[in-house]
Amino acid sequence: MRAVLDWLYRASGVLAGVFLVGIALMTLAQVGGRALGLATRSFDDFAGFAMAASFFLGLAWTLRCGEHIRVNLLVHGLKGRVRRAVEIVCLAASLFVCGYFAWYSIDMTWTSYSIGDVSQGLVPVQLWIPQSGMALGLLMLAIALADDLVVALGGSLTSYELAEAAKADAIPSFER
Amino acid sequence: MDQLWVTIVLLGALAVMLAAGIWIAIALLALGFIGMVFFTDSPAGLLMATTVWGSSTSWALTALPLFIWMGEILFRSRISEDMFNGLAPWMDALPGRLVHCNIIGCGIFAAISGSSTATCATIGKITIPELRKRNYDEAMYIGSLAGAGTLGLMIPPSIILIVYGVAADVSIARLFVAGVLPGILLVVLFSGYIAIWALLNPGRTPPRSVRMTLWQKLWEGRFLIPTVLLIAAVIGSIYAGIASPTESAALGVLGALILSASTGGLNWKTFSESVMGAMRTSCMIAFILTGAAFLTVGMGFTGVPRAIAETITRMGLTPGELIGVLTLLFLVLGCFLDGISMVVLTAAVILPSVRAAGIDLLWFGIFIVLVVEAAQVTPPVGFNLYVLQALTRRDMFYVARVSLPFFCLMVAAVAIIWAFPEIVSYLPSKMFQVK
Repeated sequence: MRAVLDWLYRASGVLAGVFLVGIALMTLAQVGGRALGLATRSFDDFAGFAMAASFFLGLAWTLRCGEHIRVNLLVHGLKGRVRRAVEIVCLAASLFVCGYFAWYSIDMTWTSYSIGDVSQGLVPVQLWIPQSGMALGLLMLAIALADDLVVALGGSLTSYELAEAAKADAIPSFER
Repeated sequence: MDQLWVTIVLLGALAVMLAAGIWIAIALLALGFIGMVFFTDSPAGLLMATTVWGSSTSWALTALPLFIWMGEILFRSRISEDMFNGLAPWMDALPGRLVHCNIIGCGIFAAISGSSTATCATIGKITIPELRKRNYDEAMYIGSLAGAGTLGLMIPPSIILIVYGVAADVSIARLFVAGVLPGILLVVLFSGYIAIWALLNPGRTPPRSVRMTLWQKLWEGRFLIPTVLLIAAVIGSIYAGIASPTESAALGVLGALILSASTGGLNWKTFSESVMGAMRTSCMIAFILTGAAFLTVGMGFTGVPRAIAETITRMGLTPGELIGVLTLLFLVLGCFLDGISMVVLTAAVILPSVRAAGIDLLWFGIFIVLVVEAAQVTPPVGFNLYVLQALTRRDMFYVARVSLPFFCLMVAAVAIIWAFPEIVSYLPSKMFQVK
């Protein structure tokens, strides 16, 4: 189970990276195409879709790397059981919000699919295709939050706490 | 229900969520959700999905991940290692000597990375041991690093300006061009302060230590100069109207890859690390923007921003007084929040007031970035102060004290652009329009 989940987070993170490279390639193709006098305007839309896919698919992996920003000034002042309790409440609230968000994104994607909604660009695209990246990414984020909630309920340090601690240790210092 | 109570409940909810350590992006989503579900009859879930989908595919925003990636590539090349050696021969003749390496080094690196803590840490890691070895005044080189590290937020391509442009619906190209002169103004203020200090305290600057011919100087700068040219080309192409910010960012990525490959720093490991690093950073920022997009809609439904704007109008605040109040508010907020979160919160809540007061939104973008910069070195929680504290192993109080003159210079810069708004508006008025 642990290995499968970790693989899923990483895989969707790598996919997000691939889409990031895709944005650059499409934009470069457009610049090159314009220089050669070819019509490549619809690449704007595709680059936008690739960006959305990259953003959402990367959410879970970014969470586990401890890179989503939060104010941890007060939380770091707490110790032991109180700290665990606050962390659990935060995770539960975040899981609710993200689960709700994921649910409605899946709903939106499903609606786009069933009514055959298409994008308004030069090349019409079935909207459910790019939207499924958002739905999938948010679902992964909700799973990652549930995962960490279980870990926190078990009394252990969550993935992002471990990552944050590792980063604090790595603050560049030449006098250690 | 009374608008005032809605405002108080929402602000309280935000404060509690942030203090408890909920991720900022999720707190913004939750705040929009609370506003909608408790104070209106709108379908929150449906609006959440559609608003966010609309905001996350916008073409203007594609510049963000690309500029971050360009920075990640250059960050992993040899540029930072060569920064000191490349700059030192040119700076040694100035009054204040090698301390200027901090300012100029941060200025160049800022253009690459767009993150003030990364700028401060990377440049400081190289210059602090070198300056310490040469017996430079410690207060001076730590303070100048704290101040100049924040240049990352202003000098284009600036990530925070992209965020503001998207959140406030202001042209990113114009914002970039508008940031050039204020960025230079800050560099001049910082360097001028160092030079004047050195002239007033002649005994406290060590003698010249580097003497080189022009060819030697150019040779030492062989990795630095192409990078500076690349950044100049990126900004220049936006200014000249040849490329949109997204296109110039994509060309910047290509240029950075070529530069990195030609200096032998590019292999599969550094390439994939740069992609994943850029993906995580842009993902984090995009998530906050996503939350802010929904919050803006949610706030619009509750009518809170309009109520705040009306209250301010009723109070009869002049634009100058409004800016003064906002400056104080941002400096306080900056003790708890990072710059990007501050910008998106402002866009969601305070922008209608700013617009009602007749303040130019382009000018306001530069203003907010300047104040956010100053907030990075405000004790007790300026982010740059943390970095420098870790780097130098001095206590926070000392770092904050030596940074104070530079903090004052940044506040002075706010006053200067208020008195002379042309510093912001001149270049954008002269730029060429894209197509």
